[in-house]
Amino acid sequence: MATSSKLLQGTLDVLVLKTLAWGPAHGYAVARWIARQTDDALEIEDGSLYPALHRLERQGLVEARWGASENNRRAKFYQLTDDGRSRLGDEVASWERIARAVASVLESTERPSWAEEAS
Amino acid sequence: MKEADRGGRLPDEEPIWRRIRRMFGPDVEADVDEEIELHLEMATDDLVAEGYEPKAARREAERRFGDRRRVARECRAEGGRRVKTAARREWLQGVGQDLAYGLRQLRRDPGFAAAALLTLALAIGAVTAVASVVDGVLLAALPYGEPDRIVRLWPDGAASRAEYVRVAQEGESYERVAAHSVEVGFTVDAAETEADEPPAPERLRGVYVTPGLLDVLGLEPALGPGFEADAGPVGTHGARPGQVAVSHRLWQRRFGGDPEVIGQRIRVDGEPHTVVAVLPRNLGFPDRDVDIWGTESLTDRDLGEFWGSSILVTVARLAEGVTVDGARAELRGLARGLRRDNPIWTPSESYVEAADVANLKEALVGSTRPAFLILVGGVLLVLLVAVANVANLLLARAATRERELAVRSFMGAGRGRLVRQLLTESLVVAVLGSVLGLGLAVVGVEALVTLLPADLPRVDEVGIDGRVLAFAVGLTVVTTFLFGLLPALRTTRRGRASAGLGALGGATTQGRSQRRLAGLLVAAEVALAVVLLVGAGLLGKSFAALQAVDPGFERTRVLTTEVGPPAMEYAGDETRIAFYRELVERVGAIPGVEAAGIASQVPFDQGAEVMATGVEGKTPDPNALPLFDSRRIVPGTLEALGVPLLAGRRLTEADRADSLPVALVGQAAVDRFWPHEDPLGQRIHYPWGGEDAWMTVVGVVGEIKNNQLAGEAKPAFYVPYPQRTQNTMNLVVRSTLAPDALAGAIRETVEVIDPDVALGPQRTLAELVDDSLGRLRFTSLLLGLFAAVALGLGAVGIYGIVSYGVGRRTREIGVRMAVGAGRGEVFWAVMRGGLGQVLLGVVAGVVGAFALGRVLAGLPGGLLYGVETTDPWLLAGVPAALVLVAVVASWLPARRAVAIDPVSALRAD
Repeated sequence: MATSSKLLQGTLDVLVLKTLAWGPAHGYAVARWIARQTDDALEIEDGSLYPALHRLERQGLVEARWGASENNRRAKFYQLTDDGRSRLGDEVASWERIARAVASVLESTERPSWAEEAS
Repeated sequence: MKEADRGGRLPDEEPIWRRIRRMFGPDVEADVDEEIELHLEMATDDLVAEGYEPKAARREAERRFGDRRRVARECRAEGGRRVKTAARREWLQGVGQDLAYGLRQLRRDPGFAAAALLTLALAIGAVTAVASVVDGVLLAALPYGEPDRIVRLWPDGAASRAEYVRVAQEGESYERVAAHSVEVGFTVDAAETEADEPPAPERLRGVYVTPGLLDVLGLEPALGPGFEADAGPVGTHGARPGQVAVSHRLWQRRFGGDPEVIGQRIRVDGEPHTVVAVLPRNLGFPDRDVDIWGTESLTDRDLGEFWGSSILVTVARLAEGVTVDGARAELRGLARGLRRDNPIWTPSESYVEAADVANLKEALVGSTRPAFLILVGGVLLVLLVAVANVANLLLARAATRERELAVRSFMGAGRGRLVRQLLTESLVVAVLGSVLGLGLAVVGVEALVTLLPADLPRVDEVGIDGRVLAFAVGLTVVTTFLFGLLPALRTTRRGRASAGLGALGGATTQGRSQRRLAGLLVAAEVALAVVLLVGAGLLGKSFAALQAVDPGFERTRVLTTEVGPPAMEYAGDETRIAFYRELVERVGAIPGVEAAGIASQVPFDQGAEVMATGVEGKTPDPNALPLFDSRRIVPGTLEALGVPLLAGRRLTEADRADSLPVALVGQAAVDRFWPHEDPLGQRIHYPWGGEDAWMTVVGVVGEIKNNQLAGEAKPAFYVPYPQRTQNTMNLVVRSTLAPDALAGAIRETVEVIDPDVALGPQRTLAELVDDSLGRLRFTSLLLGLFAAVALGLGAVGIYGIVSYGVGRRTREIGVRMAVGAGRGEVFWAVMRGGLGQVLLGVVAGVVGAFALGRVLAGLPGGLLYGVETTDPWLLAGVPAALVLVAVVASWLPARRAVAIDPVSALRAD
C-alpha cells in the first residue's frame, strides 16, 4: 500500500493503457503482465489496478465487456478505445520528454560554476 | 467483442435475481465484487500451481491484492459516476429524439404549424410591444424623485407672479414651490472667452425658471451647483439674474461634454450669462424641445404689473403626509386672500373655485389616457383570444392524433414516455412561437416609438418591458403545455385497451360540448375583429380626411427656420428692416429658390400670435374683442407660402415704416365682419398700438389653418414688417431644392451678412403639419395593427374549429357519403358549420363597433374627423370582409372533407 502510493496515479494509468494496447484483457491479466514486465520492481498492489481501470472506463479511454475467462468464468474484459489509443500516444511522448530531461540532469558530468568553491 | 468471442464459450449463467436486478440498469456493486473475486481466484490458482497450499495461496493472493474494501469502494464510485453520465446522455438523446420528432410532426402538418406559430408570435409580439410602450409612457413613474408628490397648481399650472409668490411664501402644504415660464426662444452666442473657432450662434428653445425647480422634481444637476437664489425682496423665490443651465444634449453637442463648461461665461440673447448647471440627461422638462433654463428673477415691481400678461407654470413638491386634496383646500384659501387683495385682477366669482392642485403626471399624460386604455383593452382581448386559439388548435390536433397515440400506447409506449413526447412537441411550438414573438416585439416597439406623439414624456427611454414579455410568454407557454398535456393524459389514463377502443370508436359526446365552446370562442374572436376593424377604419378615414384638408398654404416645398439677430446690435427699427431686406433678397437669389419672405409666425409652429383685435364699427365692446391670428410679413412671404390674393393688392416695398399703416385680412375675417360690404378700405385696430393704431385693409388673401387641420380657420390679419418690427423672425422659403441643400445655402447666406445671427432648426411646413397629426396617426395605426392581428387570429380560429370538426367527423362523413350524400352536400354542411359562428360574431361585433365609435367620437381632442360613426362603407364592408375570410378559412377543411374516401374512412375508423 505504501509502495503503490509512491507511484504516480498518472503513471499507473499509462502502464494500464500500454498493456491494453496489446489487446483486450481482464484485470488479472493486466496485473500479471505489468508485474512480469517490471519484475515486480514497482511493487504495485494488484488491487490498485482496478480503480485505475474503472476510472479509465468512465473517461471513455477504455471500454468494458463481459466475456468468458480462460477457466470459463464470467470476466470483465477491458479494451482500448480510439480516445484511449491517442491518449496513450500523448502520454508516452510526454513521458519520454520528462525522462530525457531528468536523465540529462542526472547524467550530466559538467560541473556547475558555483560548485568549484564549494568542493 | 473479439477477445470474448475468442474464448468461444458462454459465460456462466448469472443467478436469476442478478438478472432481474440488471433489468433496472447496471448492477455496479455486484459487478465490482464479481470482478475482484475472479481476480483473487485466478491469482490463487496460479499460486497453487507454483506450489502453495490452497489456503496459503488464497492468503497470499489477498495480501498481494491489498485493501479489498477500499478498492471496491473506489471502483463503485467510478462505476456509479459512469452510469449516471450514461443515463443523462441517454435521457438527452431521448429529448433530442422527441424534439426531432416534434419538429418533424410540425413539418408534416404545416397548416397547424403556421396557425399555431402565427398565433403565438402575433399575440406575444403585439401584446409585448404595445404594453411596453403604454407602460413606459403612461404607467411608469416619471423620471423624477418621488413623482407622486409633484403637483401642478392652478388649471394647467398657469399662475401670475403674484399668485406664485403668494403660494411660495404662505403655502404650507409644500416642501418646495417652483415655477417656469412658457417656452420661449433663446439665442446662444459663441462663448465670450471662446478660443479658435466658436460654434455659430443658434436659436434654441428654453424656459425661465425659479431656482427650486430641480428640487421640486427631486433631481440633482448632472454637473455644477445649480441656480443661486436671489437675495432680493421676494426672498428665495426668484433666481439671481445672469445664470443659465443647459440640457445634457446641448452640453454634449455644443460644448463637447467638457466639464469646464460650469462657470463659463456664454452670451444668451446678447447678455453674458454664467453656466451654473448641466441638467440631468433626458430630463425633457417641460418638454423634449427645451435646451436652456434661464433665470426667472422676481422683484416687487413685477408682482402687480405683470398680473395678467406674464404666466408662470407653478409646480410644487408636497410636504410629507400632505394629500392633493389637502393642498387644494389650502390653495383655495390662498386664492380667497388673493382675490381680496387684488379685486381688479380677479373679478370673477369662479376665481377661487378654479384654483386647483393636480398630480403632475396626471396633468402631463392624462389626455392620452382614454386612447391608451382602449389600446390596452384591445391588447388583453387579443391575448385572450390568442390563448383560446392555441388551445383550440392543440385540441383539434390532438383529436386527429388520438389514434396514433392509442396505437403507440397499445404497442407498449409507456405513459411517461408519451406524455414527455407530447410535452416536448408543445414546447417546440411554444419556444418557436415565443422567439418569433420576441422578434416581432423588438421591431414593434421601435416602430411604435417613432410614431409616438412628440410631446409625450420619456419616449426616448421606452424599451421592451421584461415583465410584460415574461407575462405574455408565460401565459402562452403554460396554455400550450396544458392543452398539449390534456390529450396525452386522456389517452393514457384509459388504459391501453380502452384507449384503443375509444380512439378507434370515433367522435365522443365530450367532443360535442368542446366544439360548442370552441364555436363560441370563434364567435367572440370575430366580434372582436369587427370592433377593432371598424374602429381602425374610423380612425384611418379621419386621418385620410385630415390629410386631404387643404391648410391654405403649400407644405412640401417650403422650408422655415427661426432667425435671431443679436438683440443689442439690432435694437433699432432701421437696422432690423435693413437686415431682413438684405436676407430676403439674398435668399431669394439662391438658384432654385422661387420665393422667400419672413413671418413673425409660421403656421403649425409654436407660439401663435393670437390677438384681441378691434374692427371699426363692428366691435363696440372693448372687453369682447374677437381673436385674430396676426402675422408680420414682407412682400414675398405669402408667395412663398403659396397663399393666394383674393381681392385688393399685395404688400409691396412701398409699405414702409412711415407710409399709411395697412393690413391684409384673411377671407374668414371678411365672411365674419363684412359679408355684404367691400372689405377694402375698412379699418382694424392693431392690438399693441395706441388709440390711433388703426390699419386700413388693402387686400384679402386666402385662409390658412394655423394649428390644426380640423376645424374652421380663424380670422387673420397680416401687417407689413417695417410698420411693426420685431427682432426674431422666421424665414420662409419655397424652392425646388432638396431641404438639406437649401438649409446649407441659407446658413451660408446668413453668415455672409452677419455671422453673429443665430439660426434655429430648419424644417419643412410638411413636417410641422405632420407633427400635428402625430397622435391620430399613432392611435389609428395601433388600432389598425390590432385589427389586423384580430383578423388573423379570427381566421386561424375558424380554420382550427372547422378542421377539428372535419377531423372528428371523418367517419360520419364517410357514412353519409356511403349512403349517398353528394359531395356538394357535404361541402356545404361543413361550410355552414364554420359560417354560423361567424355570423353570430359579426352581429355582436357590429353592436360593439357602434359603442366604440361613440367612445372615439367622445374623446377629448376629437379623434374623429370627416367620418360618421355609422359610416355605411365600414359597417357593411367590415362584416363582408370577415365573412370572406371565414369562407376561405372554412373552404380548406371543407375541401378535405369532400376528398374523404367513404370506404377507407369507414375501414380506418
